[in-house]
Amino acid sequence: MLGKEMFTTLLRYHREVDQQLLDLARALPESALDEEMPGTGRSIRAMFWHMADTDWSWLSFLETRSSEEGEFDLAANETDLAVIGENLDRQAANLQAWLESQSEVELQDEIHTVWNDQPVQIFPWQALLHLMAHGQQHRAELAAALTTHGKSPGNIDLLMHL
Amino acid sequence: MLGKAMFTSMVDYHGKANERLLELAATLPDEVLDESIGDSGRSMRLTFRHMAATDHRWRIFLETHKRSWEEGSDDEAGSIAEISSLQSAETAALAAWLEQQTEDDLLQAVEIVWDGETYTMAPWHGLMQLLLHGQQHRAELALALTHFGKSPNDLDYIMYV
Repeated sequence: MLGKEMFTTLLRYHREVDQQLLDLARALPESALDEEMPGTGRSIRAMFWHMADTDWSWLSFLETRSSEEGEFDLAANETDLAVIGENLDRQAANLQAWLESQSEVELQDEIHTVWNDQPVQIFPWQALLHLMAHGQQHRAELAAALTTHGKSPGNIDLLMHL
Repeated sequence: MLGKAMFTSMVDYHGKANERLLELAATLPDEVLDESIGDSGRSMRLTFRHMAATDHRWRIFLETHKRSWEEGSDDEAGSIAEISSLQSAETAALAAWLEQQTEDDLLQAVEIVWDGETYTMAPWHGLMQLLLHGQQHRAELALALTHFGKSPNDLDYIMYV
């Protein structure tokens, strides 16, 4: 059952590294958290919020198999990094619980939905893989910003988390 | 065969996203390509070279179950066209290796000696490490390209499915 084992490992990695970066961000002054990270259009604080929102949004899709979203329970103007971090960790825990409930067959069910008025076919595993790759991209941006502020996370390779 | 399908899809994405960034980098002057990216310790050119060299080393490990760090140097930069050719060849070789593997092959743990220590690792661990390593460096390169007016726009996996 390679697929399930791979996603279980990836989700654990996703959760652990997000929290590692959050721990480092908590040591920064407010001004550094709100400074725009060049090229991203977001600050460190806003990036963590975006990651929590994205995890929540895709989990909602995976659970309901519908692109109609409910309401994200983290206020758009939330600035407390502890609250944002707690939400991010909760989304990851919920994703882990959802994955645990899925069989490899269910992960390969074709979902038919509508995005931006266009019919779309997608497999749950593709959505999950997208979520993992999305997290990795933003972790790299956060790691670069933290390093600029003297808080390098060091090596965040998957190998360090096996 | 979910695991094999996922890795096949990710290797395809890895190759296409790398190509996209290399095409944009090819339009930049040499002095920009050799400027250090933030605090990463590498220029764009060296980051691309590092990615191709890392892909090579991991592929050799996957094929032989032996570490081969001496093959391929991160410092032999070359032109973007040369690096692009190396990267394309590596991705094609990786895809060909993957094509030959069964899910059981990918799960079968192997021992590797690393700096005098023996570790046990499944091939899929090495493959996923290679893919996430690429994703991390693509994010750094995308920031640098954006800084120089060559944003790759959305690089999300879902855009390549």
